[in-house]
Amino acid sequence: MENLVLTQKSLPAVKQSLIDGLTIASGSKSSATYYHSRDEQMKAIHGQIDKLYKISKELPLILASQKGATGQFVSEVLLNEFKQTLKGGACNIVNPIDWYDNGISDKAVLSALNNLVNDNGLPYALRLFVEMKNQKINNERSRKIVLGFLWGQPNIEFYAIKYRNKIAQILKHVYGQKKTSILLSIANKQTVYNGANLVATEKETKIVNENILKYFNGDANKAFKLLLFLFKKDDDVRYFADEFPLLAEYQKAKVNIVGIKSIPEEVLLGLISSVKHPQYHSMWSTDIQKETTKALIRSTVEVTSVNQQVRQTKSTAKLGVEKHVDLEKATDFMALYKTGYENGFSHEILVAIGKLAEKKRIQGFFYQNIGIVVDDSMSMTGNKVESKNTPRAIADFTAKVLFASVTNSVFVMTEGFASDLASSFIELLKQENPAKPYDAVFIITDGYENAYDGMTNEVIAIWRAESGSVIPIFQISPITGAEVGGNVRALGTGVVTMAINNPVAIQTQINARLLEIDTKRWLENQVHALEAAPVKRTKKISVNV
Amino acid sequence: MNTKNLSEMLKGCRPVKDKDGNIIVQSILNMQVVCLTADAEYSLDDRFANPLTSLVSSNSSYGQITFTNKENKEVILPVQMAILTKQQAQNHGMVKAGYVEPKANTTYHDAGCIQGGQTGYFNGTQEFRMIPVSMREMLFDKIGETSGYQNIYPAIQKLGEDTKSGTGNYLNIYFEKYDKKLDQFIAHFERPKNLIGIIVLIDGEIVAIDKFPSFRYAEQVWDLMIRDCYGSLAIISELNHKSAVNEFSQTYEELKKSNRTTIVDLLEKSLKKTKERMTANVNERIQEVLDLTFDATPDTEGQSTSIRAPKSFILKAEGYIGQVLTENEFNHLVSIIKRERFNPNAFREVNELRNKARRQKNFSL
Repeated sequence: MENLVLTQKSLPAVKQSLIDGLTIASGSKSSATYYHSRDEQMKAIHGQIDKLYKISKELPLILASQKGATGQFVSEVLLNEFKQTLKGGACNIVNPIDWYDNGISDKAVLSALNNLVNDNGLPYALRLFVEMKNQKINNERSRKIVLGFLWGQPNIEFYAIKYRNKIAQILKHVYGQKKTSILLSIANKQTVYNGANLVATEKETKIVNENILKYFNGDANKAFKLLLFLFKKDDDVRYFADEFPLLAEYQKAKVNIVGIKSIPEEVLLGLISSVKHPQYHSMWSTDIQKETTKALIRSTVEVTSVNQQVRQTKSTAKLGVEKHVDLEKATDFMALYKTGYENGFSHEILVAIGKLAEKKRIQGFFYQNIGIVVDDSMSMTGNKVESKNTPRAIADFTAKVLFASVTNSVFVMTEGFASDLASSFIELLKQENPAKPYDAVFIITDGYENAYDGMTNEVIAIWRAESGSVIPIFQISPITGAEVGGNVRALGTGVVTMAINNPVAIQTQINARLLEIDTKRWLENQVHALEAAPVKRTKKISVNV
Repeated sequence: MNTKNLSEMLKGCRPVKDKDGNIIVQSILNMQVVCLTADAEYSLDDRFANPLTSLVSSNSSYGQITFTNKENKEVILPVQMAILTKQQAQNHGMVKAGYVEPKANTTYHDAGCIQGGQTGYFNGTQEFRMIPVSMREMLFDKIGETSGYQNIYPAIQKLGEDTKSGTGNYLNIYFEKYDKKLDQFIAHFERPKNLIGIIVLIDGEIVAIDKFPSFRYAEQVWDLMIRDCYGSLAIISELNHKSAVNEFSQTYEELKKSNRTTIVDLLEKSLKKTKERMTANVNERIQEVLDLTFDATPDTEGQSTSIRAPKSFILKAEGYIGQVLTENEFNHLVSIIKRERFNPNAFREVNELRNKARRQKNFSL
């Protein structure tokens, strides 16, 4: 890449948008919160993306590729990107030759998509593709990216079973009614008459190559069978266990669900709850049978992820199933916290949370002696419109990750029902070890101070003025406020604000402070990172690397 | 005519305090909120049903509201509820609190229209809101007035002027304009566990006092009270460019002159002193109103005549007006509002002189 084309004139606007955008990127949620409705949250996210895109079309994608960007933000950025034509919008940061012709644009899209799947799971990507259908987005670029992504999945057989209808819906939209029909017809001809090996015409071969094999890392016969399965046209198809171990087991489950281990629980429940299933009347027609069957499936299936098993703790106990879950293998901190809030924080859960925080510690963290204040007021528990206890869980886990990332830390939690952050901040100062003074302070709060609004800022301002301290004070908020355009409600001018939905975003956000010092350098680093990203949208180099 | 003393009406309640014994004062702009709590035995959690879910409201003529209680428990209607309905009907509001017996209905004829030109009666709705507290004084003055449907219009017009919302006779215009802001306002205040009442101060003067029947009841109405009712005070303050005084900074500067200590110690002392001052101010103000004696007039319009039912009284004292629902000297609900024209400072001067006069000994040789 040559140098950036960013001008000095546009630098201030870009800088401010990036700072605001990073907050939204790592703090935005689609769900309603304690303070705001879903519509308001979404409006704030759309507003910010729109603003970034107008300044320069690369900005939203650069932010969506940052570690810790929320699923909702990345989805909205990609949707916005797919909506636009490839050449739509202005490139004011990267030279258009680099962006379009040298493929940085594609890499940026794929990096964002990777980011979405790695941090949030495949369903987020599928939801995004379904939304493309709803919004009637179907241009050549988006088609290629979706097909590359779906056919390039290394675990495509499992996903085909688990997300059968959704994937079929997406493929039908991407291929269109007519081409879907053609592809199914070709697949049917070459698969169902197995052994007959009807030779495809030159035209058929071309269609299959262009629409499937270009993206799929396997032979045509396998692709055809998957396609027929997805579109439920596989009545005459036989799946052999050596080629399709999961689909072969699925075929068995269509007759008998007992002893099935590798098919997802919800798929088995879907099969048995159909009156057409041979075991329906013996296993699902009464409430007692249903409970017994659910328990049987829960105890047999082995492909449920640890995170899901953790979330199922309560229902597993209700079903009377004794299933040991190795909590320490969970990777979703929220699953552990939700289970803790629901069933009590057992020693095992607390140890698992501690170990997960240790695993998620920020490598090479800038600061090593830190003070942490956590707001434990009532509003941090969320309420009926917000998933119960979500802000509190984010706050607690963030504090633990920070603790695990540094050599020395002091931790103070607010007392009582109201947010008395000023007292806690002073308590933190009192507990400072003179031999190891703080190099940063983190205040984890929603920013709604109760006694009184602005008091903490006064305390900080006086402390800074009197002590001459210049250490950074970060306000980490698990909630963004729609009234401040989806940003964090700041305690005051003396703090640097960050919205965090997952502690993984902390380092990104702190790195982003480099923005304030050298915006151009920061952007150069990001574009270089995109350029070097090991992603491509053709087979062999899977987008899922 | 009876008289009732505020300290007696709020008996059993006390302000929520921090571990140092300071009253916890929550603030935004020039508005402060003090929460009251009580011992659990004085919170009648199981007796009353949730007013927002157990009642449905209807009417069959303008200026009246009928509440039907679906539950097998009694219901106390919060002070001045409003019905803002999506039905093709005229929104209405109550001018007071009320009481509905289990599985029964009650009709109040001193209610009022809150949507000028709209016609039609509403039926079986639970679309409840609360009337902004800045209208409360004018509505209490209308208790018992059953002629017509215009009891609430003047108060809406005043709200429109105070909040620059051009409401005319339409309360919904105010809510439409400020609903988002009011929703966010909820987040500024935290509800403590075992809340049973609230005292609201503006510019350091008590403007409203509410005591609820139970902790559970307070929890049920908290969001609506904060958003719909007290929220108007913050909006008016914001429009008048009021702000919080930087009390901490002022205290710090004062203490700095006379203290030679470390910065952190001084910060701690200043914070402690700031809280003590806030507590002292609130204490003083509460003490003043606790001394108030109200004339209590029975309010019978629409209220249950059953012997077991709580009795409603309209309360009037110099500068204050309110309502109490009481039963065998147990006060379920108390609601007091300061009259806007009332200047407590002038009252204080008069009182000071009066107290001095009381302390003077009679002339003797």
